[in-house]
Amino acid sequence: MSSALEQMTSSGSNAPEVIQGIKTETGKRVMGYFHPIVPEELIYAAGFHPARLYRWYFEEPITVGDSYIQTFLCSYVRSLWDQVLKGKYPYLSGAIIPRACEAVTFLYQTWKRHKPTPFVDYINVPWKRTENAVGFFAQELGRVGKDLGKFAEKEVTEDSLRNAIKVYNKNRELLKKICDLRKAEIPPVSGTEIFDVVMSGFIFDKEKHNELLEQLLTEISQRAQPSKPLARILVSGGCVIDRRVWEMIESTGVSIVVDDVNNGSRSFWYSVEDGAKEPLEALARAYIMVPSAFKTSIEDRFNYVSELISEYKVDGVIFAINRNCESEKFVYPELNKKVKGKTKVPTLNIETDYLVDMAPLRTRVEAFVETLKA
Amino acid sequence: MFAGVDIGSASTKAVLMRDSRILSYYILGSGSDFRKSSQEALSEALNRIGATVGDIDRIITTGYGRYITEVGSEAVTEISCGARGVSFLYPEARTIVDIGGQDTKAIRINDKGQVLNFAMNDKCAAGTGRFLERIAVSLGLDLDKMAALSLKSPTITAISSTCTVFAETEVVSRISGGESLESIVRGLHNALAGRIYGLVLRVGVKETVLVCGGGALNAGLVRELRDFIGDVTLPLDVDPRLLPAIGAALIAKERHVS
Amino acid sequence: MAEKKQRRERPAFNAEIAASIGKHYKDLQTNKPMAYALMAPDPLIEIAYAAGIQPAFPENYACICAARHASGGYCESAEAYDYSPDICSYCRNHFGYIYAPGEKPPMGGIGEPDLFLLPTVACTHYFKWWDALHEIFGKPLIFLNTPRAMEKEMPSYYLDYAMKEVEQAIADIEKVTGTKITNEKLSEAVRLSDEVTDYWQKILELNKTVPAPMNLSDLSNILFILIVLVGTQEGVDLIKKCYEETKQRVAEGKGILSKEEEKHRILWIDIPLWYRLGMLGYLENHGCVIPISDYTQYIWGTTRMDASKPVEGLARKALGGELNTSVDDQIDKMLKDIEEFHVDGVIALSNRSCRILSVGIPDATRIIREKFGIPTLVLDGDHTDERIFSEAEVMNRIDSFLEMLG
Repeated sequence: MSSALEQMTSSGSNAPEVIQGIKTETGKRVMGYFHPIVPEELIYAAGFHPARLYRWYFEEPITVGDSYIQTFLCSYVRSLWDQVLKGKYPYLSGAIIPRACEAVTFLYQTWKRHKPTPFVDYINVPWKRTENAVGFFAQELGRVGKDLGKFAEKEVTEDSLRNAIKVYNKNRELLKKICDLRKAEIPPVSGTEIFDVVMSGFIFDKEKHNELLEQLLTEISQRAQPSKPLARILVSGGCVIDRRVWEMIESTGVSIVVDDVNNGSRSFWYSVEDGAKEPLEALARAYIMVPSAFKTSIEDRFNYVSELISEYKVDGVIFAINRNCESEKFVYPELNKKVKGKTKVPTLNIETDYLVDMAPLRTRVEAFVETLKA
Repeated sequence: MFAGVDIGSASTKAVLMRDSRILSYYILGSGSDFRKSSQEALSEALNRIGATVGDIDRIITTGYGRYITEVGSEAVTEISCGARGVSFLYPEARTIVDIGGQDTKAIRINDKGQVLNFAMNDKCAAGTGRFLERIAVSLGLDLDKMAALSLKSPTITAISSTCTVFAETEVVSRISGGESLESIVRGLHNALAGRIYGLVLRVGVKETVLVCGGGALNAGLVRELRDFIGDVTLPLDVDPRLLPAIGAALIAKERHVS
Repeated sequence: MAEKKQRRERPAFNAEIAASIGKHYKDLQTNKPMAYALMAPDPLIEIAYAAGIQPAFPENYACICAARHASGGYCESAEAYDYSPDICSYCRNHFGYIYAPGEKPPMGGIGEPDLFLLPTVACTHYFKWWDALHEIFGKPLIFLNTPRAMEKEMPSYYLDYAMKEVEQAIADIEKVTGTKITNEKLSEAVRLSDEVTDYWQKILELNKTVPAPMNLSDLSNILFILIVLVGTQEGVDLIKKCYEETKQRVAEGKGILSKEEEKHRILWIDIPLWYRLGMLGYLENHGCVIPISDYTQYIWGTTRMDASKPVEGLARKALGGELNTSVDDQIDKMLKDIEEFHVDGVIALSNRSCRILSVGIPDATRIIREKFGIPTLVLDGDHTDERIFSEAEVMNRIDSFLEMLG
């Protein structure tokens, strides 16, 4: 029987099969969604299997997609849309797409026009964190909940939401617990492994994922201690879903002890109020804090990152920002200044892109690690 | 005796040193087989002083192909090696501008030759030596001839395109429009120098500024760079492409002692 | 094709607007407090005028820098300060300007603001840009967050939220400036702004005439009023002149091109190429006029406001216009206007710097070709960063397009 980690890692290399399997076994329809700002609980409460929309075919060149969406838009959206158009995800019944950056906002519109699935919906996300904004966000979530309920032909009730929140809080708690282990001087689990663990959470059923996470905690406690890393790194960016980037960075001898990315901490670094009287408002209140660049001020983002730097005793920050990721690239100059100036931690900026060779990035990372060693 | 082998995308360089003195070196085109070019560069350097591989105490490889070789067992990036090599030969250098065929690097170092900060051009030929090479080919000129034309021209025809391919089209348009070839060629060198300057500004200019890499051999480019950056130092007593290999050999010596 | 040089008579209002632009930039040097504002259907402009604040527009400044060929240099400087070329060139032009203005910045520069007025209409860049400048300058940021109506049926609570945000913004501005914005002042600013909108919509109707009394450049000039002067008497007086002159020209059958010369009417999609407006003259010389563009027609002056309910009016303004609705909406409007403006060809600028405006282009051009069978041309470029412009390439495509039009 393969270990929990093995199961989670392998799911990332054949996600469509796994998700199709879940659909067949449970009879649940699959509802895709894009970005951690979309509360999965809503989808879960409506009786669907939530599947975060990431391209799962990592070596598929973008062909068909280019006639719908220009090349100067983010390759996450382009590659995903290309693969959706090619029918790579036939199990999808729908998608929920937020008003985030221009590429993602466009994804909703092109999805609506070309209808690869019978259902698609959007969420207007506030860019402020005031009480007004929380109220508005809760109303938006309510509207999406109604739309989901209509599509499911079964209303989303407050109780089902509270139940979903319980399951998801447990999931976030377990993930946080595992991540906390990396605060140790010698982290017992690597950044690449955490990457696999978190990504599998976007594939598996939440209760199954919770089981695997509990198992993983036991497995980690039984491991032999690895060697001390050359440096403790924080990776910051938008989405960094190319596994090679995590591997490449850690192959230099450093450990990625914590991250500030959409497919990492931003997906679980918070908790939703348990047993809330108004579960929609509780969801809004928690999710409005997700520190993605498109909706977060530089100051709020810096506070998030600097707390991670000090809690995890980070030696160096690597910004890994995707080509054409406008929001993250815009925030980078001032955020970088603040990180270097206030935390005194050195930083490196590398640009990731779809289907590029790791070697040039590797040179930059190695050179950076060499300066940290000195 | 220590060796540094820099396997770059365009050329492979091997340097042999003892007691911090350069005994010999060899430069050849990398071609597509890094294993072959690195082996050859090292053998030729050894032949020149009648030595063999067994005489070498430690070899460090650097450059783009530093892992794709059998000659050494340790690899260090060309940023750290370049910093070491420059600092050794030019202890007053604080900013290094390494203009290679495929990439350009700006490196800030301290008085010990340690890297403080670096920036490299992002995924675009327009900020590298490749920019001039491409256009030289389409004009049927070699780089030396291009540099000579550039130096001759009292005027600069601005070439605004940041894409190498677009720039080529722009050049051809202007020539057929009857504009002066020298002025256009100077414009090309000027455009490249401007982009390199932008890269250097990201790490900050601190004197003295040392320009190395293949680009340092281009007098036309150097003249334009001086207009942007101010005073720059060029390696005079050593081929400017050798600095990372020299640094690699020095690091090999350091690691051997410790 | 060789470019024939021909001096064409332009409507007289262009000179008046140029004078107004000159005055605006002089005012920026003296009028205080001065706020950086954005070129969008922005309710904070009327509020600013009601509060006695002078708004300044770095985007408009970028257009001017581009027209004066200074923007390439500024964009390059911005890159040296870590601003990636992937970011909108309006922003990069500005960062280049503030970090390295040079000895003679166009118009004498745009000055340093006392505060920032940020609406979240249009794209995410607005937030990122003003937030970064707020970090750099340390001046207060007035933040008005409104949602984007992605469907034709907008949920009613969108308006509620927008109105609450407008009220909060008014309170924030009062606090920062120490001025009270009375209901009278606000209503007056809204009334004046709505009057400008009224004239603008009338002017646009006039451009349906054959031959068209105005070309894209003339329309873009009038936009200055809709962006910068909404809420002022000056704005009303100026646009009234534009309307009267255009009405007169239509009555006299005077177009930019004569009836015989005007062979084709083009829909322009996206922002004009600010550093190469001469291209419009080239098209005119080949019998093409551009009486309509989504950039000039669908973004500003699309929403009427009731001055007796200024907060609601301003909230509705923030929820209207192309940048606050969907691509579907944009395409529907274009299909309707192609018929009403007698359009027989489309040129779209696939603008790498303005993603929000250009994302619709692949679908729009395909749908237009299917429905009307008219030729569509897509140009690749950037509205402000002229380094990303290949003259030979673009003119080649335009010439082929002219051949297709016949």
